[in-house]
Amino acid sequence: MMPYLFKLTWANLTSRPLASWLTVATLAAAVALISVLLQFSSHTSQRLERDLAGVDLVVGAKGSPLQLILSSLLHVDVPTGNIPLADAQRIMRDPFTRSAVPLALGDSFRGFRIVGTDTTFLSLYEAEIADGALWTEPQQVVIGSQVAKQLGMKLGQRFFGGHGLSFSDADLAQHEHAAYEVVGILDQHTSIVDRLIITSVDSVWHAHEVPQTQEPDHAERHDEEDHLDAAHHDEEHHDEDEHHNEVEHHNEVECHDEEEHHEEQDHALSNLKTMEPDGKAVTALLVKYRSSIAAVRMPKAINDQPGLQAASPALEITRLYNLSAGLMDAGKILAIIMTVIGGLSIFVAVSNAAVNKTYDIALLRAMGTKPKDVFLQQLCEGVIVSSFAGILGIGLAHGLLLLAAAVYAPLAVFGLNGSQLFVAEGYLLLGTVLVGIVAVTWPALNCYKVDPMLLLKGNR
Amino acid sequence: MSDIPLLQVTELRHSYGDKQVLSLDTWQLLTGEHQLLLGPSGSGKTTLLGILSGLLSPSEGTINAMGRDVGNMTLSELSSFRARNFGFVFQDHHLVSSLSVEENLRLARHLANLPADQDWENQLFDRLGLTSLRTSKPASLSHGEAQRAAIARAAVTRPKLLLADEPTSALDDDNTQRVMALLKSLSEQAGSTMLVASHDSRLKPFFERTFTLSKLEERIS
Repeated sequence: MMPYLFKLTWANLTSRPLASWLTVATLAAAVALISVLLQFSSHTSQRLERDLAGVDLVVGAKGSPLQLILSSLLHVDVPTGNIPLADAQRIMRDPFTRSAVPLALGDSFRGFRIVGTDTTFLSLYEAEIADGALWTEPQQVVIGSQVAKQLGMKLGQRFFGGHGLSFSDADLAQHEHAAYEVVGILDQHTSIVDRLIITSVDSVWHAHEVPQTQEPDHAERHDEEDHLDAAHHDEEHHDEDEHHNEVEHHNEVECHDEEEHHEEQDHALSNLKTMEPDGKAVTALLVKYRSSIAAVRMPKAINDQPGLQAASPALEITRLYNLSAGLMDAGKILAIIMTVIGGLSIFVAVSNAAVNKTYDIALLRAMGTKPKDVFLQQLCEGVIVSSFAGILGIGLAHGLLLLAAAVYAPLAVFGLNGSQLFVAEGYLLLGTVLVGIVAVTWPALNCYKVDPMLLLKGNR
Repeated sequence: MSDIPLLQVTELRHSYGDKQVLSLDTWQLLTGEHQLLLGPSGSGKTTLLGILSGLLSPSEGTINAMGRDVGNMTLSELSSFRARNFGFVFQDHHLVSSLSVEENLRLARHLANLPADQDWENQLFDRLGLTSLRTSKPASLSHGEAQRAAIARAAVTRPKLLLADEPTSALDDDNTQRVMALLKSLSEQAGSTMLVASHDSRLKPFFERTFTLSKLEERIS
C-alpha cells in the first residue's frame, strides 16, 4: 500500500500546485532562517574556539580591546596601532609569561592578510606544513590552504604585499622592493590560519622600509602610514641581530619548550625577545600565562603602562556575544513565528484539500482503502510537504551563505561559508517534519472519520 | 446463473434514529444473476445497497456475503473484502480527482491486491471508448465519459458483485439503453453478478429478476 499511498499523496499535492508551493515556500523560509542562525551559532562557537587558540591575553596599542582581539586573533578588524618592541620584549621576558607570540600586521595580498610572526604562531594553532617548509629567511612565506586554493598559489611563487587590509587590492600601495616567496603551504586546518599568509616579523619590517630608489613623495606617504618600522633596517644591523640571536638563543629560559623547536630554524631571522629594539615596533603579542596568578597581575600591570593595553579574548568574545545576543534572539523569535505560520499554512492547506476531497476519500473508503490508510495518506502529505520544505530551507540557507561568502569577504574570513552541515540541522529537519505531522493530524483524523455512505446518500 | 446465493439477508431492519427505513425478512441474490432493486425515493434501496456492501451496519439482521457473515467482520476485513469482491458504479460516477482515468483503474486493482492486467484494461478502454482519455484527469471528462470511466473502474477488478446505484437517473432512453447494455455485457465478460438499485422502471427488461421495495409507510397503510 505504501508506494500507492505515496503516489496518491503526490498526485494530491501536484493537483493543487500553487497551494502546495506556497505552503512549502512559507515553511522553507522559516527553516532557512533557523538554519542560518544554527550555522552561525554552531560555526562561531567551533571556530572561535580554534581561532582563539587558547590565548590568555592579547597585548597591543591602546584603543578598543574588542578591536584588538578581532584584529589579532580573528583577523577581521584593523589593528589598534603598534607597540614598541622594547615594551613587547619586557612582556616576553616576564616570569608570568609562558609564551608570547609576536604579530606584525598591516599588509595584505589580494584580500588575504600577511602576518609577520615567528614559527611559534603555527604551534599555537597546531598547524602543519602540507607542502614545502617553514620560512628560514626574511621574505619567505607560508600560506594557508585557502590562500593556496583561492589564489592558485604554488611553492616558489613570488608576490608583492600591499599596504593595508582592504579586501580589494586595487588601491593598495605595493611594497615593490620586498617581494615575498612562497616556501610552504599549510595543511587545511579549519581555522583562521587557512586564510593567512604567514612570514617572519623581519619580512614585514623589511616590506615597510623605505627603499633607496623610492620617490620622495611616495616615501613620505609611507612614513605617514608606516607604523611598524621607525628605523631603517640595514644589513649590518641585521648581522648584529643574527649574532645576538645566536648568543641569546643559548640563554633561552627552559620554560619555552614549545618554542625551542621552531626557534632553532629561525637562524637568519631576528630573535625578537633578545634583539636590540632599535625603535622597532610590533602590532600585538599573543600571551599565554605561566600560572593563574598571572591572570590577576599581568593585565593590570600592562594596562598601567602608557600606550599599552591588555585584552582578554574570553572577556571580549563574551562581550561580543552579548552585543549580538539581541540580534540572535530577534532572529530566533522571527524564526519561531515563521515556523508557526508555516505549520498553520500546512494545516490550512491540508484541511481545505481534505474538505474539497471528501468525496475522493469516501470513494477510496468504498473501494476498500482501510481507514488507517486514509489517515496515513494525510500524514504522508504533511511529511512530504514538511520534508521538502526542510530540505529546501536548509539547502537555501547553505546556498545563500555560499553566495554571501563569495561576494562578501568578511564572511569567508570568519569561515562562515555554508559548506559545512551541522548535526543540529539534522534535528532541524526532524523538527520540521514533526511540525508537518502535527499540522496534519487534525485534518487526517477528520479524513479517518469520513463516511463512505456519503457516496450513496447524496449528490455533490 | 446458479442456485447458490451470493448475498442473502435475513430479518434485516434499519432505522435512522426512531425512523425505520428498511425492513426485509429475507432477500437473496444468486450467483451470476442480474437483479434490479426497484423502488421509489425513500424506499430504502440506498440503505440496502450500503448494508449489502458493508458501508453501513444494519440495526438488526444478518447479511451473508459469499459465505461470510458480514456482521462479524472487522472494519479492516470489510475494507479488504469490499476491495476484492465488489465493484461500485455510483450515481455521480465518482472518480479520484487527482488521478488520471488509467490511474483510477490501477488504484482499484491495487486495493484489491491484484497485479496490473494490461489486456483487460485495454479491452475495457476499447469497449468503453476511453483509449484516448487514459491519461485525462476526471475534471476534463464529459458527463458520459466520466460515467464510462466509472464503469471501467468498477469492472477492472472482475468483481464477484457489480453494484450500481441509479446508473441511468439522468439519461434519456437511448443513453439508458446504451449504458445498461454496456453494464450487462461487461458484467458477463467479467463474470460478475450484478445488482442495480434504481427508481427507473424502464430498466426492468434488462434484468432476469426485479425486487421491488416500497416505502415502509405505504406498506403499513
